[in-house]
Amino acid sequence: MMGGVSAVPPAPGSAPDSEPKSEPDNEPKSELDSGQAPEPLRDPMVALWRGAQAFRLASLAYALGVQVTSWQSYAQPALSWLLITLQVIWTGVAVTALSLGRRRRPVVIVDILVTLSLVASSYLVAPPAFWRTHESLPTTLWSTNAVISAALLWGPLVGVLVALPVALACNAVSDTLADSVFRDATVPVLTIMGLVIGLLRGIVTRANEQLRQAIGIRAAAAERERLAREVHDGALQVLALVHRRGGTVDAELAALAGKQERALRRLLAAQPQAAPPAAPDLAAELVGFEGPFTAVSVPSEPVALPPERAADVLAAVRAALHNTERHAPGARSFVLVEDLGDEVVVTVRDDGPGIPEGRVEQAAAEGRLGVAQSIRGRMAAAGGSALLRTGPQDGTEWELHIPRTRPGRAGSERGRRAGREAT
Amino acid sequence: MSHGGEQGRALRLMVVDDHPMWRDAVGRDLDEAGFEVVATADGVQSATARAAATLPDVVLMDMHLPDGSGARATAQVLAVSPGSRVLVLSASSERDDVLEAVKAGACGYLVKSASAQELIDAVRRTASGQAVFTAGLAALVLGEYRRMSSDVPAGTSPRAELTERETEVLRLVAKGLSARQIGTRLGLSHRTVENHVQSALRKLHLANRVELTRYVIEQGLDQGLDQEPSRGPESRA
Repeated sequence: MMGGVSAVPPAPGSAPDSEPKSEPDNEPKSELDSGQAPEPLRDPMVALWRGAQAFRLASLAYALGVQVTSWQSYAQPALSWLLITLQVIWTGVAVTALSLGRRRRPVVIVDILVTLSLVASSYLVAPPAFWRTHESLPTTLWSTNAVISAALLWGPLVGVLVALPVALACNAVSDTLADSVFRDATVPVLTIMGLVIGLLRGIVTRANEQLRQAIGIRAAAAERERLAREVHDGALQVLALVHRRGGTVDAELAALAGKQERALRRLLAAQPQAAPPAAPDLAAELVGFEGPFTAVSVPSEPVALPPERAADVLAAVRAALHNTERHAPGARSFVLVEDLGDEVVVTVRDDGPGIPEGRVEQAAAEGRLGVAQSIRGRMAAAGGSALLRTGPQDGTEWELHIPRTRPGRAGSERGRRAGREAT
Repeated sequence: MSHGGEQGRALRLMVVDDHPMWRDAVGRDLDEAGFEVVATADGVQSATARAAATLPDVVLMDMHLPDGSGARATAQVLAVSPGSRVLVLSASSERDDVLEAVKAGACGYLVKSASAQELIDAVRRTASGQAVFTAGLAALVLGEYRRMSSDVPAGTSPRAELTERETEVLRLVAKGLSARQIGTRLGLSHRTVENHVQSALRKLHLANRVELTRYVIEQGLDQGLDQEPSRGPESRA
């Protein structure tokens, strides 16, 4: 494999004395660094770190093999044994510390320095010309560990940044700096290693985060269900009862109970959602208008509509309900949602006295933006239409038609909308 | 209806709800109104057993039962007591369950917060064969027909479809109009309006039975059909 040389131990100073795993716990920061938070889910990064340590041990075995077979041909055999001893010691320390995983950051920093020193000290064991013409440096494969650790801890960019000096050091001591990547693959192999391991870390961390969110959502849903059962069996029954017994209790109290009951039921019916769906359910949104004087009737299946069009529909319905509240207090309103496939029809009807003839025109003549204009405007924006039916017997009925696919005008519509939002 | 309150005999009712306080209160209201509450039940199994023993005219059915859905209870009660008529009395938030119960043969739906008088009227109408439809239920039924007509490929045998008139009537019910108001609007008698609603409901029951039967045969479950709810609702027709 890569160019290189023998088991040359490090410069004496950089030795493994600055031992990191000495004081274990009180450092939550490093735990966050490795992508875990204090909760029961097992951190998959631990498995990656342990796997990397298995590789570290295997690479040490390779270095020992090189040492045992080649030490006699080195210029400084005694020094080579000292250096390989240091390499064994540091490997033991690093494997232990990184597997336990309390404070990985200082270990990894020392690991990088020790690796660079050991690679560089090969220069003292034998001249570059020797390494160039003989077998690999004993540290070549082993030095990959520093790259793996850096990538696991800090991600792909740092992985590559650490890979470069390590690889170049290997090339320098074996006089292969000037070689093309086809003759000596140390640089590409190490940098790719750093990149891939770093990316892997990102994927694993993200997957873990998503898994944790999913578990959280599930737990929340289960808890909600439990609460819903509780409320349904207790408070709701009492409220419904008080409401029904209105005559014999107190009309106001009964009305209040009824209101609370509806509010609670709505609360229970609302489902918690991880993220808003791409096309929100218009029916579910309109159900929010339900109240003492407003009934909302919807099909059992969701009625999907693009968010911006749904917003226009909601605004139009709100305007119609508001208008009823203002001009026909006490009248009941009925909202009906129908999904006809190629279009959605929303009807808002009240049983009030209807809009007096000429009122709509009057508002327009006075320059006021009456409810009719406001509703028609919203529907035009949504690419649909609004039909008004009103009369003393019929109350007021708005029928809103919203097409699923908007013919033609989509482009100009979007432009106008963007302009509006920009202001 | 094989038995009912035609000859001045008090209507015999069963109340199914898992909450004792609610059962008592509703039972008291119904007693006071001159009905005879012959049984109460707190779950699917007890409802089925007591319906078989008492054959009530009208069953008031909650959707929220400890040992199953109200829809299952409806199907099983109608299987053992085909002459009964089921009126769902439930919360407005349980829409899908209500639709299932109606498909299983229930012929009306009332929200629990309805007043005692509304409840009594609804029981009377249910017993006399009328459908008790709220706007909400009409919208669910309309939606269900539309779903069926888009799901089932054209040409597949018995396809549940509403006539134009039935659709028109159901839409007006869903918009909150009373039978009388609908009659005025469409130039029909309110009796005819009632018939259209009834017919829409009957076809839905039938379609549901056909669907269930097809399912049972496909799944090879048709040996030992005894406890299957699919036999239920229509045997009174």
